[in-house]
Amino acid sequence: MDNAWSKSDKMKLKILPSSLREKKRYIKIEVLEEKIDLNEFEKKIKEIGRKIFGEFYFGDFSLKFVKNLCKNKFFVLRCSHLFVQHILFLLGFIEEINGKKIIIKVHKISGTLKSIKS
Amino acid sequence: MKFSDIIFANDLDELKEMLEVGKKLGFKRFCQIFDFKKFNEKIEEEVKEIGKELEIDLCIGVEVKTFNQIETIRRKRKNFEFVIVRGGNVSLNRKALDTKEIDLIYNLPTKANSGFNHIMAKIARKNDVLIGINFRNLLEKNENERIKFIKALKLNLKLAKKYKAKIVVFSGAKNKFELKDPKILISFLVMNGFDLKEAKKCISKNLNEKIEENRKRLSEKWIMPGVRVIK
Repeated sequence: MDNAWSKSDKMKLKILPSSLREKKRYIKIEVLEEKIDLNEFEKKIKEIGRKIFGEFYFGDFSLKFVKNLCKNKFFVLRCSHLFVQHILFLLGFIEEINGKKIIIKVHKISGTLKSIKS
Repeated sequence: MKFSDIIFANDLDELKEMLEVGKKLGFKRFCQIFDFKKFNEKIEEEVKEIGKELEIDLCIGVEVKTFNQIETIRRKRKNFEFVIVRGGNVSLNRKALDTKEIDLIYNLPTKANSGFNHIMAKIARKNDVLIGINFRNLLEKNENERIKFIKALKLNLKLAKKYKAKIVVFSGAKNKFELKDPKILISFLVMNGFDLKEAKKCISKNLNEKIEENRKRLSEKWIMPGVRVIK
């Protein structure tokens, strides 16, 4: 017999209305000097984020990489609009990834992907 | 906005590299600091030439660490464009803040306390001494030290803000990899309860005004505050 949990798994959640969804910000950054791998960079950011802000707090940032826009030395991060400054502060702590020394330049902070692309 | 930064390059080649990267990051002015003992006129000329070559506004300053050096600076203030003090104990912090000839004091927290209180904040405001926060200090500390250091910094920022003492945040870089984007430096202040507008001032206007005032004072036309030769 199926239990209640397995039935509810088949159900789809209704999409939240836009007013209740979390507001996002996109941050476009450039890594100067060295070319680095996206996965390594993501791993490093999350590691430092957990160390500085703690797991409980870091979850609220809803930090993600927009992978299709991460090309060459440019990376696009997505986060909650309330924690943009926290993410920028966090970037200040990243100085090397796998022995490669890097410098981070923040290009743009925007609410839409359209303006980030431009 | 004209962002400026304070750096501590060890040699001229490094300084050149740092200025090039700094330009890319969006800084318009740099203040290169030398140790008080090592500083001489020959170095000053060489650094000025680099500034002209790269077309960047470069200010040259000295770092003072002891009581005796502060007294020496007091007598020979006209030889230096910018003077900063590396604090670290309460009496030195107080001495530096009491001296009008000092432009900026940084590294205020000591091992036991924050090295700064409401009285010092009032004096800093009165004597127009900038309260500096070196981002490098934050990164170099180990985890346990960093916790105490951040706590002390938060208290210092709160006091400085309340008593309207001017604050400056700088990267304190020794090589090009230690330079930080202005937005990263601003974020540190915003996280500590500053408005974005106020935080931007701490990276640009506060330091720029001080440097420009010092340059006016060093010119031959300057006589005393409010009086200068026009023609």
